[in-house]
Amino acid sequence: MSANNDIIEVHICMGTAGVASGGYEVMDAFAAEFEKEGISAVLKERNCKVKATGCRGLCARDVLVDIHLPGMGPITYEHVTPEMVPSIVQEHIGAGQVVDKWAAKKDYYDFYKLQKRYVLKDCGKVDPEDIDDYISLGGYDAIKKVLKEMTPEQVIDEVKKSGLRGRGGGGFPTGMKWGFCRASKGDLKYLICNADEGDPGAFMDRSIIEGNPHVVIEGMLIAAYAIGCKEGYIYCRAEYPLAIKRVKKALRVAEERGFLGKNILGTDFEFHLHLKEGAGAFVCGEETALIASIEGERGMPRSRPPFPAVKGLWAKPTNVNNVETFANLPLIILDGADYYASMGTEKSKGTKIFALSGKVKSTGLVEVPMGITIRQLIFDVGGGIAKKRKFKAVQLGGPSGGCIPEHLLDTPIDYDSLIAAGAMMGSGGVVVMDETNCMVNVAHFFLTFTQRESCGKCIPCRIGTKTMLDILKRITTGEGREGDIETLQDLANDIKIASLCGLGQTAPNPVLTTIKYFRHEYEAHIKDKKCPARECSELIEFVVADDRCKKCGICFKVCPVGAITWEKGKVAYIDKSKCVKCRECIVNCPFNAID
Amino acid sequence: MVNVKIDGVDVQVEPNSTILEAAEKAGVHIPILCHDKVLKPFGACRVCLVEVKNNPKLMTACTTPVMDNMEITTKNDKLAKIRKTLIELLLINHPLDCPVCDKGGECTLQDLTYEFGVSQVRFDPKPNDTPVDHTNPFIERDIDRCVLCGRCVRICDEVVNIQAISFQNRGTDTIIGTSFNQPWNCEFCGQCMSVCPVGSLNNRVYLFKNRPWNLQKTESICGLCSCGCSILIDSEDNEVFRIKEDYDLGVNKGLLCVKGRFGFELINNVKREKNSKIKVGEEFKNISIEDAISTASKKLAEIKSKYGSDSIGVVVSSRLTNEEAFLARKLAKDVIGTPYIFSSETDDAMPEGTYADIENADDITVLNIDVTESNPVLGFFIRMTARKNEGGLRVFYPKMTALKRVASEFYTGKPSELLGLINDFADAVEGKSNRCSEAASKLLAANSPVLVFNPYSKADLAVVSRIKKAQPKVKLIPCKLKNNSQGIVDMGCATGADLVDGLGRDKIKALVVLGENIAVNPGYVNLVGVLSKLEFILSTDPYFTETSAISDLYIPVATFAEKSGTFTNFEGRVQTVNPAIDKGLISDFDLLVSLINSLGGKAPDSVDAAQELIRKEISNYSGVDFNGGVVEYPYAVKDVNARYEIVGSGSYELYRCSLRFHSGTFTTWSPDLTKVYKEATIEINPEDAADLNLKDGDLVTVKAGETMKKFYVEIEKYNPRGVVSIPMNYKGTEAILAKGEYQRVELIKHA
Repeated sequence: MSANNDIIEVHICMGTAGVASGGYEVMDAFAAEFEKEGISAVLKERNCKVKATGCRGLCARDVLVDIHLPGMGPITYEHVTPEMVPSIVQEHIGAGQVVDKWAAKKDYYDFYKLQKRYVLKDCGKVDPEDIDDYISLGGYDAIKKVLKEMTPEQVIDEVKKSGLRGRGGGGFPTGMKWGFCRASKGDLKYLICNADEGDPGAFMDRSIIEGNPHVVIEGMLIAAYAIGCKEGYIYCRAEYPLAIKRVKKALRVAEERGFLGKNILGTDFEFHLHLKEGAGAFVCGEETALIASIEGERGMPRSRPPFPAVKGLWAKPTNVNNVETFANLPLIILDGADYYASMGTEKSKGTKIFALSGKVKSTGLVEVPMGITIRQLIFDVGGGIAKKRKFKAVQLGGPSGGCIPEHLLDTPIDYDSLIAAGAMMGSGGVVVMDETNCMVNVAHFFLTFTQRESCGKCIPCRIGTKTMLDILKRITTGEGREGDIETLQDLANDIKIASLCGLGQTAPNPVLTTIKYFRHEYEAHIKDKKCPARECSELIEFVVADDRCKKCGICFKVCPVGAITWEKGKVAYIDKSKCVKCRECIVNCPFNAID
Repeated sequence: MVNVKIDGVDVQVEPNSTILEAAEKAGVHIPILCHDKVLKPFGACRVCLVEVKNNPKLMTACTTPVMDNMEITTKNDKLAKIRKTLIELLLINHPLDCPVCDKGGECTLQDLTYEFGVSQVRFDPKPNDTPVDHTNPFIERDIDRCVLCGRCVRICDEVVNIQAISFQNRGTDTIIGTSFNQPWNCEFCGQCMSVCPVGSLNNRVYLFKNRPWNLQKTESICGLCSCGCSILIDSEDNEVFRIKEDYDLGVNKGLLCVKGRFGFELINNVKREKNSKIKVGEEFKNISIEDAISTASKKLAEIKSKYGSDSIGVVVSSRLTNEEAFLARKLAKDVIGTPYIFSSETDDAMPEGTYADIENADDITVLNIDVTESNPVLGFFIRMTARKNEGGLRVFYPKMTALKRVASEFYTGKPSELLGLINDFADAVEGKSNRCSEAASKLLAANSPVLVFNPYSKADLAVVSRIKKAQPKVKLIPCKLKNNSQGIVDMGCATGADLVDGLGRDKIKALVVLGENIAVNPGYVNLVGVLSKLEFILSTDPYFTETSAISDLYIPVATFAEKSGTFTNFEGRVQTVNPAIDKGLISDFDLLVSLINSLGGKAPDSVDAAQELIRKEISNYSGVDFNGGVVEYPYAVKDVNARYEIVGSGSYELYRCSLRFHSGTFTTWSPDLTKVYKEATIEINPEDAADLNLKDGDLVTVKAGETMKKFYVEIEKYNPRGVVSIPMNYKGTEAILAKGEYQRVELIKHA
């Protein structure tokens, strides 16, 4: 929503990154400044609002503040600190003069150019803690329409027609999933929202819940009506305190307003929604483990069949969808399946939200239409690689995804193309790696995560991933053996085939794809005992190369243990007896002069 | 039925069968490790992965239900490769200490390693090395050998319903642990151990004593309570090495309790007397068994001719076989001609409900007995049914018992309050009261209700008979005490004759005491003085007991593991006992045969012949299969008129509790059971204990009227305030318990 002509609005990004960057301090500074300048009284006449909004994406530049003045388009300020607030208030709000030096430039708008902010359209605009704000933007219109005009079957058909596929990673057609659960016998069925987003570097679901919790509730209402669920749970990881706070408030208010509970909107539709906090286990994002966790059992996956649609929570038919999937639903209902299906590719419809992180310039939350290429995502939306370094690879789909090398950058982003390339959509984590990243180490990093998060139930995941990790460890420390690559591949395949749940079935992916695309790096570690990216400290000599050293002395300055001697105009020297292999010199040398 | 093809074999199975069950029917072997048919499918080990045609993923045979026209491949190179990898992975951490592992020879991991041909492991070995845990007196826990199949965790949860063990940590750090790593808060039933596929949970009574391939298995019936559990007696050279279960066998479906599984050393105990003894002056002298028998018959004949046939009494223990009890009655009635045949059993309540009735029950009432202690295996079935039904279990007992996790209604309290509540409940069932009406209406509305009760309490029986009349659908399950409590009633040994009465009338001059330890029975506690005045007491028992010590002639006899015959359990089910070993001792049966014959009667010459006679003379046994058939009884409960009564005075209310470890004095000869429960303890609420400044293990004197008796204190948080309990049928409690079922007592702390 853009500001109404009669209203001045100050939108302050209060997503987790906004808050972490000092959002509350900025907000206080605005209030204090208004008070001090005596503007608040004046502003009130002009109907001014200082609004805390959810994440609008470019977290790298938080705190982001939008000023909406009547008769002017919104102006965005980047990296706002409380010190900047007086100038902004006096010059911009007071005198109508944009403070150019702090206002966002072209590259900020480039970030949004290729994006299609569809699901996230209200994130960053709506006040997540104000249901009326959501309603004023058309919130809860979709459930009104559904209850008034549509039968449950029609809703399911509409969702089927939209082509929406599960955004949690698997990409199973949502309408079909609902159909299974609706067809299951039983009076009591459960609907669960999976908000246990555990991938390192992923914050899509978090941003939606923190930025617009009511859209998730509305999506769940539509699903509950379509499937025939009376009870529902939002399973949110406890590590998202802000999301939990906002969901709790949203649930309370929605119930007070008659959107939840009995006789919703005056009909006999009944839906009770509860919040269940996770207890810090990645595997509980797996739906059967999640169900076990809600039941109060140890979070371990269960064998399928029976599928949750037949026998899920407390042995009742249960439908589990991800946050983003639910957030798509009000749009499908209001805009129609045809419009929705016009976005994206033949088999992957709509948009997808990604959490862009790693060595890319503009890290943050992006939403793009299905079908744009990985290259566009990283270089056009993300602004390319930071520090003028070279792109090496991108990990798509979180720790269970795969590493895509440069020659596959033109792969379109859709469920099937990504799988063909060896990665997966996953929940939408995108971690970009540059030339300073060792791919063996990258594989080791992701496998360390999945191995640590294995629940321990099935043998291949429990012992297999640990065994793979041990082999990777010895490769990165120079103990690699002839045949290790083949052993890794062989074991990885067995683990993928034999594991009980998605965690184990996908955990070897980073290893398999890095071997597939960067086998030479593995071989360099094993045969030459060298780490080409100079990341594995056991394999670095820590010797200054005379020919490349420009004698700048940066290494001397950054060495924390005084192991480097340098004089102006002379090549630096590293005393290996003092060196602790911290790699600070390598990371900071502008000339790659340390071997 | 659906059609399935497994490895080319067509088979028809029930629609909801798993692939594994279908394969079993088709005669196709699928390897398993974590699966156990008594447990819910789990699918953790992945060893049973199979290929299903048109399914891109491999499926676990143990969890996947069959579908019509499913085609399954259980053996090919791909599956063999994966199975091999799985075992290789397990062998990275599993210590290869098979030569000293008790499981060697019957270890699933060993078998699978062999089956899959894992001759070497591609990965570096990293054998686990954590200390062995000995905090459980019966079960050694070696988590190094654990393969985390979770069978122990699941059986303790799904079947035992105690949840004493669970998974801890995750990933490679996962271990099987106890709550808060405390000593096992458990009933020591050993079910976890029985399903452990490797040597991770070991029987400490059997530990390092033998190898499984040396052991001879004898199928028999446990002789330690009335549950009638089928057991396998593993023996070598006339020594019992362990008691094993068979999940395909018996009413207990493979479940055993601490007594049945771990108490067997009472059979081997070196303290067992090998010689008959005769009292000469104040001393006992060994005599041969032949001399003992001739002395006995001579003495009995003498007394009979001197004082008449009714001067001799016969006391029959509930541990005797049906055939022995039958002969005992024959000896008394037909040969000696005395009406005085005594036992501590009652015919007030007869069997009616069975294990199957428990399993099919929609409403279970457990009235005033801790069945998980008195009849542990029956207790497992009650728990499993209540768990399955998610309710429908109502319990009346002064304190919370192990049924608390599954009971939907649990009524506890001081006897003075609880007993009133029980009466209210009976009133409500009869429609005479509004109190407890909700519980009563549930019982009245039930289709297959069951009532479990203590048949030795007259007041309880009165309530039971009222409920049975008001709700005739209710199946009654009397928790009989001993392995043949019911059988000796059926054989006519519970005549209603009262030993106290008989001896009191000064008529009886001689007693034949067959296996009963009357000296410590609360019912007979006041008789010791009288007994010493008798002219002749013959006692038999596997052990030289307190009763043997006051007799004139003692003959050591065989235990249940050494003899043939039948027991009748609380269901009225007759089951065959087979001898596993021979300790060279006479059985009560053979002794009775000799006595009958030498006293001029004619005894059947074998157990088979005795069974023939039983069929002829005991009418409701005539058509019964002695290998598992159920006897029909003319009534379930007699009209009993009795009221609850709390006798004595004092600040504490005392009730009798049951003991899981002992149902009398016999099991105290097991060094292992006795190690855990040696002397009778008094259970007391923590606040009461604090008031009296008592802690666990302190001595406290119970003063009941003029009777004073010291007990060790056991603090029991579930005992209500002001309520204490001591075990019935246990040495040292008889003097107090003789005064009444419920009594008020004083507690006196020792300085």
